[in-house]
Amino acid sequence: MRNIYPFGKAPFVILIIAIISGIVFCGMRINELRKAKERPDLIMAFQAEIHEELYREAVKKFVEDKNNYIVDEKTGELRPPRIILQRVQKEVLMDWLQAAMQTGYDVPDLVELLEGTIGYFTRGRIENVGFVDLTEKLRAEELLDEKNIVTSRYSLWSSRGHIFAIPHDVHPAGLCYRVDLIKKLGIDVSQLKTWDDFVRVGQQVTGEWEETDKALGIEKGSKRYMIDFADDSTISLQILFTQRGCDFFDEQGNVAFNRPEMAELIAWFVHQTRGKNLISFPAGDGQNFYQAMNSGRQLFFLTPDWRSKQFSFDNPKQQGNLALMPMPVWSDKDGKILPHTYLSGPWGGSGLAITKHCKNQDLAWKFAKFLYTDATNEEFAYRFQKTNILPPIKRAWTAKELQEPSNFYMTMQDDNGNLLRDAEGNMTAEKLSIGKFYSSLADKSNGVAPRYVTAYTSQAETQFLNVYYAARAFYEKHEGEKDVDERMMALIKEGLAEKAAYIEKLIRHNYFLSAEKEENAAAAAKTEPAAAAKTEPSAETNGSTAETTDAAVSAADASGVY
Amino acid sequence: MSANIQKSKGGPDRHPVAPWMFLAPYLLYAAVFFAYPLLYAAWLSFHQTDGPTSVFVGFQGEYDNFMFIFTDPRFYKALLNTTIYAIASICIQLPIALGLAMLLNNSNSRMKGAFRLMIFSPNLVGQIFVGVMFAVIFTPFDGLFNKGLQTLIGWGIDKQWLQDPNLLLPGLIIISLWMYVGYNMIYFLAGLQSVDKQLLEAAQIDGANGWQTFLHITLPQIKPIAIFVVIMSTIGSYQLFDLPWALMKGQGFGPGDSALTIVGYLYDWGFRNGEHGAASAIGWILAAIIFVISILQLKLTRAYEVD
Repeated sequence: MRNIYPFGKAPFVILIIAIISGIVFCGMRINELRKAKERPDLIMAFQAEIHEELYREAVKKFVEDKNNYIVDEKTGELRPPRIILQRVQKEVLMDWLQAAMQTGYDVPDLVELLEGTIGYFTRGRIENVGFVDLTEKLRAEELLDEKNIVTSRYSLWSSRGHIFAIPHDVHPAGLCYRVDLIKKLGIDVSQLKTWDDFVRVGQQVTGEWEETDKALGIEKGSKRYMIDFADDSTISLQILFTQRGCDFFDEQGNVAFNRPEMAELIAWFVHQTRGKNLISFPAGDGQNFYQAMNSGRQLFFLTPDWRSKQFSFDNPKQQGNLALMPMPVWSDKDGKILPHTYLSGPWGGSGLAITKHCKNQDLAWKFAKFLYTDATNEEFAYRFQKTNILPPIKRAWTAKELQEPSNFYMTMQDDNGNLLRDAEGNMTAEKLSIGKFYSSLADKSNGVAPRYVTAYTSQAETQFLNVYYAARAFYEKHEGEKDVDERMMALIKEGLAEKAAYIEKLIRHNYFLSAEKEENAAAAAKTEPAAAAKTEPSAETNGSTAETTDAAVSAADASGVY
Repeated sequence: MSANIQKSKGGPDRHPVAPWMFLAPYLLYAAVFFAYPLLYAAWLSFHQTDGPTSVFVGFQGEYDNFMFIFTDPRFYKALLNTTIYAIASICIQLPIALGLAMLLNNSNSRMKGAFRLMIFSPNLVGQIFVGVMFAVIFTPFDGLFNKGLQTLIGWGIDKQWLQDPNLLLPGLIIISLWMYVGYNMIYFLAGLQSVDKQLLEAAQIDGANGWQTFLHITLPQIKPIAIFVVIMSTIGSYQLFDLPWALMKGQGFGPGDSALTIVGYLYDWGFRNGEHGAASAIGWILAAIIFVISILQLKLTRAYEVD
């Protein structure tokens, strides 16, 4: 042994293991590089499980269509494109994308992003955003026109007037409730028009169930709340404040949550979730949530289109017993609807982006359009049946399948919002077309509120929640004392101002944004005199939404503010 | 003997490079995965990054990473929370671990091994699992803890434990007690088993009572292990992240940042804000804090002094 290797047996074994593992590693790496050379024409990454089956079918159709054939680099002949779909868990997708964008290695060509995630990639100079700017492509396809698409959904995927993804969905939230419980309690849902109405009824019904009813799943003495508002995240608050016409940031990316409407909303939310007159308690998620729904703990649930499908999957025993209605709207003390409010606030969203690393950008755009905007109404209808998700393309809403009554969901109101009654005058329910229901919320200029996402949205959420938590703690401690509401309001306003200043400081800390802003301001100062001379004083607009969207894009572009 | 080694066939005289060859894998590993990231993080802490682009900001006013962190109230909140957690870990967890170790050490029970395994076993579960598990246990209405309270005392079914800023940090401390007491107990048990039995017998013969024996014989004998456990607990406490993150289901760090730790704050900067420069600066600040505390602990416990 000593003659072969002078250091003894153990080091010899270690050396052999090292050599073997080295060979295996090199072999794997070579294999990887060989595979990389055989890279497909497009790799699309996404996270939603429910989309997988639909996208696989779509890819099949796309590659079979001879109009989508591409010229093979080696042979020069036309061939079907090779497209690979990669479904990755949400957090992993983000980690992968962040690392890939940073290093430029293994970047997918198309990515289906989730609501809020684009902010991470738009935190630098606009030209450094790792996604292709789709604004002009969308304009050319008339997809910035409100008559074709719900343009408010671009807000999720835009930064400084540039759009980086095509919206997949609308996700307007409505309210879901159990018909049997509402009948038992005698709640006239047609009277729940404003949030004030809702709270008034909520205060009457929040309490305990008076008797056990096994058929309804309720037990005597168990708690009953009017609604499920999550108070450990911004989910419910966000739906409510976007419906109220507020947001963390404005269209230009400026911090916008330090305003009286937001303060009023936080105070309102505190009253609904804490204190003697509360009407809400969080139902939680997963099994806890369905336990709450089935035991009558909460009566109403915020429900966007995607969640309605989830309920039917996870809680089939409520088939024919769950109904949907629009969210109440915001009004003043006289019941007059407040200006700048919407019928619904959105919850969630996905968008398809093309990365700048994509080598076949024309093919990627063609595929993205095929998937999201150019699909036939039959395809949209098929996807809707599988997911209940309302596409933002308005043409798709006319599909027969979207108009048909659902087998799962009911309504207790007619088309005019009046309560349905049977021949004997009792409250009744009939099947609801959920396609019609959700599209009716989305098909108006004040339908679905926009939601603007920046690099600092998640920080704004944290800071905003902290204001709510502070107000909640204050109210719990001082409820019943003199001027408690005034003092709480002062605390909220002070908190919002402080937290908004903190976010503004965070933004100023960002060297790239600040430098870009200064450069844009300098450029604007140079061009302003010339532009002023050219501007005709009597220029008018016709006020159409399409023009508003385009104008907003240009305005944000020029202003260079965030 | 040494002359023999030097003259031997395979001695260092003949292969002066050989020791370095044996060390090379570790040195290479340490250089790539330890020294380089450390130095790169130091370099990065004076920069701001935008994807692959980076720009030197040094100490330039509002762009300065260190200045921002040192003037950020969230940093001090994170520091305070982490320090409270670390102090609690040392002052509550370690005495309990030592007490349990002594009980097991003195016991002649056949169940000794089983008890040791039972107390240690929570440590076999990762912090993420523990966080998720306790999040479920503390769920209002349907959680085990709330249901138990309701059954026992008729109160607490709707209590939102994880939503109370005054209860969240104590809750974290209790969960970590459950997790780490067994782990530290094993160290103490090893230390107690190595205490010289002759010294203990001599003390007993001299009439020392239990407390005196513990104070003057046991404690000095296990001092090196105790110092090690204290320092490792401190370092571990300052690195706390997974547990509060999982407990809050990845939705921030509790009401009013009540469970925000320094590593959580670092995560926020690095992976939510995407500012790797500031995150690197926090990493270096954290390293400096741990270094200073460890040196202080070594000084205070006179670990370098030879009896």
